Amino acid sequence: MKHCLRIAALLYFVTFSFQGLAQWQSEEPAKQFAFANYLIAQKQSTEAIYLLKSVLEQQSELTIQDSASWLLGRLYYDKQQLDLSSHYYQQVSIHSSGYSEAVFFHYFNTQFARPDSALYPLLEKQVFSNDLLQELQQFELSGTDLLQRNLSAFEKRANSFTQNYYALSPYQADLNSIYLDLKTQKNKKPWVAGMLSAVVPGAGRVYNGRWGQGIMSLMIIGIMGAQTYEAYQKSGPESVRFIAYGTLLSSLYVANIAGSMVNVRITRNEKNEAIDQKILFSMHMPLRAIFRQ
Amino acid sequence: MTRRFFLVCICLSGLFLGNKALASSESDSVDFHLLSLEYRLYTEELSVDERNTLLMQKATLFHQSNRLSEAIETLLRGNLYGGNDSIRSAVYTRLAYYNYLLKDYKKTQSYLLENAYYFEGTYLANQNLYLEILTHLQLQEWEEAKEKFNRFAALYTLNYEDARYFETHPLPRLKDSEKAVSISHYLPGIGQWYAGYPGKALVSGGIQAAFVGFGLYNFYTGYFFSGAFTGIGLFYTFYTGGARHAGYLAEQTNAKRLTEFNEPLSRIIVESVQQKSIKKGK
Repeated sequence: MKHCLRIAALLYFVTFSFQGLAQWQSEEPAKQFAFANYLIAQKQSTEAIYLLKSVLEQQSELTIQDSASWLLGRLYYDKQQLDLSSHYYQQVSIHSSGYSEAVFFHYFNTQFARPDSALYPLLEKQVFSNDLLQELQQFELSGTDLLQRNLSAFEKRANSFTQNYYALSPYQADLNSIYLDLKTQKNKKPWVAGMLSAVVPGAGRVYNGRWGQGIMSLMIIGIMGAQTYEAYQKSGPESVRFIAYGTLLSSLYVANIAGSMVNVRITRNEKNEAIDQKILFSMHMPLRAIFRQ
Repeated sequence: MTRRFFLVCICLSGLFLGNKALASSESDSVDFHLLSLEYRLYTEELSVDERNTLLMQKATLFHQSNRLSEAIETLLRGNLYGGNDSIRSAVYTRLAYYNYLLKDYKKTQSYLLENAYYFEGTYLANQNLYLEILTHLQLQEWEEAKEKFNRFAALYTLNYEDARYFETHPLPRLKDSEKAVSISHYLPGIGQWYAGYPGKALVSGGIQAAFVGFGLYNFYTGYFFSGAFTGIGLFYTFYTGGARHAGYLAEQTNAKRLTEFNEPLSRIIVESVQQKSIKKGK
């Protein structure tokens, strides 16, 4: 029986202890990375991610950890999972050759997820020896200036743009043009829209640039007014008909004033979001051109 | 007894721990196996058939984890023009089957036709008869479905009642949604009636008649603004909305009637195929 137990124990180790270790797991790191590159070329990103995560778990050597994290950052970026991309890019150490890319993409991914946040510390303290990367750093920070609507800070940074780099110059021009738009842009005021709608129903919406909505509002309130006037003329001020139409008219009138004010706020937010998207696009494109060609 | 129990415990714990090492969760386990198959594709010198077989194994794993689009992409990485006919036909069959599950019936039919074309005159061309019938049913190609179902009934020796399904069940009479909309424009509510919803037809017609009545009464009593804008205005709103609703109801009726006809027939077909494969297995 003792012999039987020994055999069982041996079987246990041989059969199950090594079951989890597949052939690709026991390969040396260089071969695992070659396999990962094959998977990426074959567009098998889910499998590539699984492989690289397993490499991260198995290997403790810094260069291997860096390479795996850098590739995972890229893969998640390609899958448009920017939070996970940032997570892995963040783990790339300063000694890695992919460090610059990791820093810039981590910065952009985080900024994209939170356009309202001032993320200067993530990039400002980094030191790059390469001139192009130094200019890219200033460019990305200037993008954040515009997202923050800090026009004076943008002005200062934009002065340092050399326009010498093909990958950057068109987007520097784009940011400059957005800056000029923001500088000359006059925000419409909700209270002005409200006042105008109080004087002429629908005028507040026309002031906001929504001509169709303005004319529609005027027509609806005009029609309701005509019916109220008719009820007043023919049934008198104490009639049920006049009270019903009058109440409806008053409600519509007040709602239209409030609606005009809300409309201005919504339009302003939409415009700001559209501008933010343009800024983020300009911040994004040079990163792809410089690091992902 | 105690020693024997101890022995069983060791083996069971080994099995349990082994599986834990293999994968921490079900999706991890699938990814692990997918990667292992992909590693074989990467490292081994494979023939066309071996490669297609491995890709089919990978597609099966994707299918089992409900990732049908990835299963289709995997199969399309295979060589559809070379190698053993049975394996190629199996790839076409799976492509058709996964597209059927994704409710892309046109693509399903396209792969079935390719399979029939490449393997014409062999048993491989007819092995997907059940899938062809199910696809014809979904595409409302009744004549083709009936003709193939008769062949299927003979091949699978269906019982008398099931074999006469097309004779005993009238084909679904489908409603024309455009017609429902247009007749609603002539007489409000009639489109809903045509679509098979008499209750909704009465409500829709009643509301519109009430608004017309309100408008006319106001005209009669001299309240022209109220008559025109409240009565006729609201009537017009319900008139156009009611017509659109009639079209939507007609489509709902069609979906219901198709399900009523197709589901029992699909069940007969699927159960027969399952029973035959069980018998084959035995």
